[in-house]
Amino acid sequence: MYPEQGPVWDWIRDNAEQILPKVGANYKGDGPGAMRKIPQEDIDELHRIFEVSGGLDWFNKIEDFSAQKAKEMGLDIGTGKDSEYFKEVYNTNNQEKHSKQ
Amino acid sequence: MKIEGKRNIWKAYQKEIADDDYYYVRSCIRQNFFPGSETTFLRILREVLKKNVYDDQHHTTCTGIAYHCEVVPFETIMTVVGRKFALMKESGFRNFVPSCVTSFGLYTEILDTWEHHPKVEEKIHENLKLATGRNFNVPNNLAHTSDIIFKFREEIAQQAKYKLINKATGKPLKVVDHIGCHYAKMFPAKGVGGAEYPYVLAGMVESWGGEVIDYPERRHCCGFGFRQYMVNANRGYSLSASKKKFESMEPFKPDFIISNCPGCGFFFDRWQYALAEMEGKTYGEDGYGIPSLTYEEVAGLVLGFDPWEMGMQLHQVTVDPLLDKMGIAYNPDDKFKGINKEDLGRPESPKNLRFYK
Repeated sequence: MYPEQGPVWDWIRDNAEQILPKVGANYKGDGPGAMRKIPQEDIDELHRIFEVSGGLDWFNKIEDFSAQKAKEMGLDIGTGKDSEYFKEVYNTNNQEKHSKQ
Repeated sequence: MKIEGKRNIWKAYQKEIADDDYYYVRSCIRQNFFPGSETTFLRILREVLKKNVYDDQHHTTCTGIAYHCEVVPFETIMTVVGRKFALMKESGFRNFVPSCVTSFGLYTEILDTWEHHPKVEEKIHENLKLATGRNFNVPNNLAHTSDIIFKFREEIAQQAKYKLINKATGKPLKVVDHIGCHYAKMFPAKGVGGAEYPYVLAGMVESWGGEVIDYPERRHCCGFGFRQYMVNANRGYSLSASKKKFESMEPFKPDFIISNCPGCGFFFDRWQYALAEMEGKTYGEDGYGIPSLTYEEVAGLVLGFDPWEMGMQLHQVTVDPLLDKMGIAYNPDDKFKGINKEDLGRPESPKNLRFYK
């Protein structure tokens, strides 16, 4: 999905456990620090904020209308990055709609 | 005009920056792109400047990128930000220092909204109380991490082990400064020098011995811009904006780029790789790219920190020629070793962008 990240990005991903602590990251660790694991109670609070403030309703609306649009386009809505609809929206630059005539 | 009037005009270009006791909030994308820069910021504050800074494990994303991509509503992001302010209040700190320029821009936008629409702030207090039971106060002072380094640039200069000077020629290094759009283009009064005369990075460069290049597209956006990068089909816009800047700066032969925004700095690094592989074009000397550094990395080099402990091996545009120019003592053999000096192999070399000496 991100070819522009280059070979150094692949090297970082392959060696994350060894290289990230070297630069001071608390990779997937408890406590403060870069790239730490976010405590579950904090994620739960964010979830409640999304419930109270309309964020979850907005997500659901996006999902519902995306499913409708996928059906209209004859694409499988699926889930995650294997979704036919996601691949179309993410990758296709529609020259009829997106270019100045 | 009377002198008093002139002084009042220029006051709008100044910024109050707290001098100690900071509540630090990290950047989601910065942690992933250049985690060593956040480590370096804390190290400079604590070890070099002897400042008091609180690094809270409980703060989370501000949801800013999702907000700018229109998948998170304004009321939701305001409540998430209210939670951060509540955590700061509970920690006993009052000076809020975000590492991210996107977040910084959002905090300024949200605080301005609340100032002009107090009922909106009331609603966010209610939301947060209902969702988490927490209460918040707005910060006494909001400053971006680059503001803090700017404020103490002379103290850093006094402790410098290296200057931004070419060791072989004795001449100042030529530096491109790039200010993230969300730092001061939206709310000019919140940035050092405003939107017209941004000085936050130029001030550091000058204090540390370098020379700032004033090139035609200096104030042009890098092009990252969230939505045009997030969707693969739109990335050509993002890449083209950076290319426009590279073409404009190239004739001035910059030694490096310094940025205060996570996205800008990262994509100046990665788009040079992409352009080299797509078009065979490189913008630095001898087939290398132009190194794209964070202000913490530059400050760290000046202070004599180990470049590999700051994470400078995570750049796709290699920094080694710059280290050599500055005469920095470093061990090239440690570059791709792990925390316990274990051999991690080496990244594959790009086809067109020179990566190894």
